[in-house]
Amino acid sequence: MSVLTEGLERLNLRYTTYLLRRNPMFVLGLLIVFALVLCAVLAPLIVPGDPKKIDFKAKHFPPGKDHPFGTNVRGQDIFGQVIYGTRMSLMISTVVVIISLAIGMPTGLIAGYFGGRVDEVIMRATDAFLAFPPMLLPIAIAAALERNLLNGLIAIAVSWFPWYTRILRASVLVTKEELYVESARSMGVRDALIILRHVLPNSISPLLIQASMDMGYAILFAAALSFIGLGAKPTDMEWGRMITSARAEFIDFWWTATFPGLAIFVTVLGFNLIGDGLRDILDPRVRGR
Amino acid sequence: MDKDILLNIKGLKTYFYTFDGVVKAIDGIDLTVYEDETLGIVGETGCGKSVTSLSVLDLVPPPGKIEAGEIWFEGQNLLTKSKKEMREIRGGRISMIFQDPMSSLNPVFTIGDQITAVLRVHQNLDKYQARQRAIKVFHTVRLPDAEQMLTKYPHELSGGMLQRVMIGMALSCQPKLLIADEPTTALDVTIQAQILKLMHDLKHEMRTSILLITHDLGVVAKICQRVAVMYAGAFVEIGDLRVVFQAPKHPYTLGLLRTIPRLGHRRERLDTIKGRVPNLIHPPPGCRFHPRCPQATDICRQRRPVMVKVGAGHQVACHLYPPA
Amino acid sequence: MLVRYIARRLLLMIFVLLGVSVITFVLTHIVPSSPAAMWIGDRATQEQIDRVNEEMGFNKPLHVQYFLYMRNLLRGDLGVSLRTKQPVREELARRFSATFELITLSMLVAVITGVPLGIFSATHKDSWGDRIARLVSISGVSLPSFFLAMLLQLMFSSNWHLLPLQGRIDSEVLADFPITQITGSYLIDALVTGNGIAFRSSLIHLILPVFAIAFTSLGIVTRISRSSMVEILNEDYIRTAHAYGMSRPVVEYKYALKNALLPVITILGLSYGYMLGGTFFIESMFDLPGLGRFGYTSIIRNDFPAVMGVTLVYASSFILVNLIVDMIYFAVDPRIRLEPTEA
Repeated sequence: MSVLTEGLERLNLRYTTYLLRRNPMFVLGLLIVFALVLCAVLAPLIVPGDPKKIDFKAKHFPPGKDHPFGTNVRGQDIFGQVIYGTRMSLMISTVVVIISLAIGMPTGLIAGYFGGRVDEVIMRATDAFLAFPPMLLPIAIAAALERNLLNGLIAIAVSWFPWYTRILRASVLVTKEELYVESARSMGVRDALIILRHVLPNSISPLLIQASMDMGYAILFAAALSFIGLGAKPTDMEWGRMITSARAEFIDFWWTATFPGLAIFVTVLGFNLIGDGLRDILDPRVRGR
Repeated sequence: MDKDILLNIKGLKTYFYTFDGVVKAIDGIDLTVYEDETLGIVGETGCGKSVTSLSVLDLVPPPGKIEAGEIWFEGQNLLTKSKKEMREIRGGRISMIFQDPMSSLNPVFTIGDQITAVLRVHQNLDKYQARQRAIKVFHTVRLPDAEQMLTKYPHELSGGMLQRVMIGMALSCQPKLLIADEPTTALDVTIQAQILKLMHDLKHEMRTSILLITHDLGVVAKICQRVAVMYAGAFVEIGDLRVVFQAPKHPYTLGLLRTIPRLGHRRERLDTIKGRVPNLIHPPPGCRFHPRCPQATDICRQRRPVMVKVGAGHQVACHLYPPA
Repeated sequence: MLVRYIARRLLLMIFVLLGVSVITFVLTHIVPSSPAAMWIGDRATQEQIDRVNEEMGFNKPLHVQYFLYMRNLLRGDLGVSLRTKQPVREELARRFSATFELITLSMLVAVITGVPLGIFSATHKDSWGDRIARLVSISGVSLPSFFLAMLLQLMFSSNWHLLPLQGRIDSEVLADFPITQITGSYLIDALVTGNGIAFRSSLIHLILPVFAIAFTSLGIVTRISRSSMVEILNEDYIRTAHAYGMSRPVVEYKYALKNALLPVITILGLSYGYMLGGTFFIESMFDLPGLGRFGYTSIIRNDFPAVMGVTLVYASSFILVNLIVDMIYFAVDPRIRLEPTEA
């Protein structure tokens, strides 16, 4: 019985309504992300025409009827680009977080559960990674590899996984001392099974919370990489790229960077609210009412 | 026995407004504490005994709220006092100690800091005087190395020593009433006995009354003169310790006493009270104990019993003992 | 005992820095471009490239190059920048104070604003003030700093003409009221030498960059302060304080605060790291001659000695700051003092 499964058991309509009413910010976050997913899936329906179409006659139009977000230097519809950009952003979030978790979770579990030399080695390795100020390593890795978006995402994921290792390890250290783990071990249950069935579900909450917020931060970091020219290509419809391209003309034409910037802001905000809300919900004190 | 009344609780109701409904933790209780006595409140977890003590000092945390009643202390109703007046009473005239001394003391301040703060709030002492008095307090609670104690942090002491510190802190301003909420539950059995003896001795020295809250009948038997048995937010039996323990009248009290295993009696099974503690949001109608009572009758299901005197200083709330 | 702890941490720091240097060295050397070509510039002939490769050792195996680099490092020689042809050490030294100024001021702003805001939020939980503070803090964390910088430049400089767009100081002011170089920091030097006009000018130029960098950290600090304080206020010993008649202000600001600030101290180390990263963008956008801008340009141009230099400086300062943070924590929290283990 972990916090998660207990919570899931109680999830009837009444309790869910209660949870949602008590955490309006969480609901807001869910709505934002849901809207995001909707935009990504229904983009062709929402956006009239081809956002990549270049039309120099429509250069730098301010926001108006035909172009709700205005047009950029090449006459492209910014609204269309922002909406299609949701696809790229969601892809970025998912790829980065999945890769990070894929490396971070096993290492954290092993380090925390088995301890000893393995733990020491893993800890020293993560120490080296964590010694880099947060932005520095992704930039360095992305600069070293061939300059495309995927490599940029790999760079971010590789810089991030040590955090997950640390977080999970910390929870596992606590969970493995719990009585039910000890009793399982004394009954002769294999380590792998103990880890998967008892330790993991009960230590995963902080990781989940961090991962949901990181879905947003991934977009931020990717945008930052684009800003330096290390992530998306100039023709990609990625919000960070759009801001970078608009850097020169932004002063005179405010809409060229504002809307993609706001899109990033709202998206990261949404994931942050979800993470915050999860933290409140999964807080063991709230459980006992 | 003509003692003066120290604390008189009348018709106290404290409710908790939660998601699932209104929890009627205490639903109209009356209790009298006399001067210079030790009164124990006994009951299972969740029966409302802690809430009672917190209500006296207006420390009930949200979503709890005192809904009705009067609490008479030194000729005044505490429920009508201002916040400032209550602050003067807390720690000054009525003190409280809690279950886990390790978590009840601030980990980043020294013992000395914390106790002198209490002294200076309630008595006009300067730093030096407060320190001297603190040392005296430590002597009173038989802590070794009183001077050293001032500079120690809570985590450096054992549970037993910390509880002595708490008792010292509580009695330092010579209150008339000490409320002790499960003071020995978190301690080893051997330490328990020491702490209880300390409380007993100090009570005599300082003429303080003690309101001792516990679920442990053994603790009650050791130092209480009177006992009040509580069930599901109401008192079921109140009386002198000897009388209640040797000739209990309420079925619940009977059941409780029977659950204590006795040396020398060979049993196959331990006795229990059938059933479970009721839901306090929707308590059973009538007498709250009736679903588990082996002697329940029809009237028990319909009407709540009132507290009736059945002997000298002995009261029961049960339909088996109707008002004359 | 404290001395042993510090010694152990410093030793650990050296090992970690070694790891950092290896990682960075490998990263900067797997880039496909040729450092020799960069050194020579445009229209480098193969002959010239070969010669430079020989002279500067670029054709040696990687681990040999690494050893040579480390050996020189121990002598204080960080190599020569491929782009500027100047010794890396001098480039770094010259730009150090601008970044230091920026970061220190930003840290101060983040802490002085963030902590009281977070505490206030916690003690007035669920009030309108709390809601606004939480909104501000979450915005801080969600807004890309470079975008914020652009917005700030647009609003305060271009539209309202309140603050300068870029630069460290008004060039005319610098010409008329030159600052005597003591520490390298314009603010400190101008202040110390009584150069009011220059002080004012550099301060004004720092407002937007500092805000852009500090806003994110402000969000984090506010949030941690708040959640920490809320948690502490629920502790048993706070109940005890109330039970002994302490008034609310005393309970909150004396008894709760000291406990609540402990996690905040830890987060300051992390915030510092985020700010270091922020310097890459903010210094470039505001044209400040600091390490961040230098690092940014060096990475773009594959100037690997420069990149190594900046990385090592940043990484060591990050580790150092975290060490100081841990020591402060050590000094403030009596519970830790018995067992100085690593985090």
